[in-house]
Amino acid sequence: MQFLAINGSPKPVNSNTGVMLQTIVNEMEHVCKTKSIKIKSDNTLDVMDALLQADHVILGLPLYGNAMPAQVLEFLSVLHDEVKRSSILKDTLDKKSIGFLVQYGFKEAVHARPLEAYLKSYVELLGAKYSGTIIKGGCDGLYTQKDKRQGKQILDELKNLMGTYKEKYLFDLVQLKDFSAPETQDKKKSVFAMKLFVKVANQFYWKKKLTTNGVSEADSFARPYARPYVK
Amino acid sequence: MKTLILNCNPDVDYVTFDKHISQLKNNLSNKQVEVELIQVRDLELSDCIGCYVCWLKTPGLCVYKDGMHDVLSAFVNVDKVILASPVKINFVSPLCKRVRDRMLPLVHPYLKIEGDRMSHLARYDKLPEQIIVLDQTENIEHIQSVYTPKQEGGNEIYNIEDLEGITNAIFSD
Repeated sequence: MQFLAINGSPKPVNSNTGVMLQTIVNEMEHVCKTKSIKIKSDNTLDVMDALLQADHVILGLPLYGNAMPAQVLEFLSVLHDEVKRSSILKDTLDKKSIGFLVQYGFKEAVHARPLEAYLKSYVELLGAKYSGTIIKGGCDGLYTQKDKRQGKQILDELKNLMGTYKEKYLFDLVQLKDFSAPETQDKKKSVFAMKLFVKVANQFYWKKKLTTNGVSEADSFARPYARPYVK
Repeated sequence: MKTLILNCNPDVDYVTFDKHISQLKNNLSNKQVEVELIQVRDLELSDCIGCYVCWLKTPGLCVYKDGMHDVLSAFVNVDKVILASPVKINFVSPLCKRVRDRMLPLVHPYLKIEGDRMSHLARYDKLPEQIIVLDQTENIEHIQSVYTPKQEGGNEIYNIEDLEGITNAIFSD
């Protein structure tokens, strides 16, 4: 039995997706052989090869523009075409399970639901077994937070989530939902709290990063492409 | 009235798609629309790597000096954008997704709450309305839910052959 973690993050270093996948791999090492690989612009065949050799796969990715990064879509597209061409590949895929990890900065799970639906239908189209999608918002800067309280909490909860998966190679839907909460900010009270949170995040997280880079708040709103333009 | 057409057909051999794009361009030009057409596949765009340089170091400008500069420069100065892509495995083309990923410079890192969820502050006062044009209208619900979600009005998606529908969408408010 082999478990494969594919990192779909286009970020060359300090990958938040990578930190979460490492936690997943560490858990899987208790029960089976594991392998990790990162999607790059020139290694599509290597990733596909690794995927075909594994029994259970989790593909991790950051949410880009409400969906998958372009390089992940490219990979999914090549894989699909190869499987369509070869009945041997199709038979191999029948026995595999494929799941996903989607992480991003916004807090609410709702942002990733359309992508989740797509990924599920994609795996079914391939003919593999869909093991579920871990959705986790509020992960911006997780890489630098991984040894601090907030980061640790996310990774500990992720570790717990892997408990069921380790047994059946299938995520528990209720656990997934708990882990990715809140779904939206729809209660009056939480909206008030979130507005406060956003204010704090802007002033202490983003503004601090701007200052570190020598960019003033006013300059951060630059509009380099705006032209005097009359309709 | 200014319109930008982003042709996200990745395949030079898929000539029918490009023919429809040319036809659309001519059609709009004949109706006095100022049209700019960009063949996205010719730009050799790099992937967005989420480095945040466009947010934190050179606000509004990507670290990659490639064809995306022309796309963004046109994008923020037109009234409408036609995002045209062939459907590939029930989604837009990877090329179309690449151009979308590279639009991060259009927003500011600061967050806000919009309705029931977080979003980013806009960098520009007004961005053009985007009209999604595909080569089929079946099995496009995933594209619909990502590109024209209900909470943003759920605009209609057009078939590339529906010149009249697209033209009407360009002229609608």
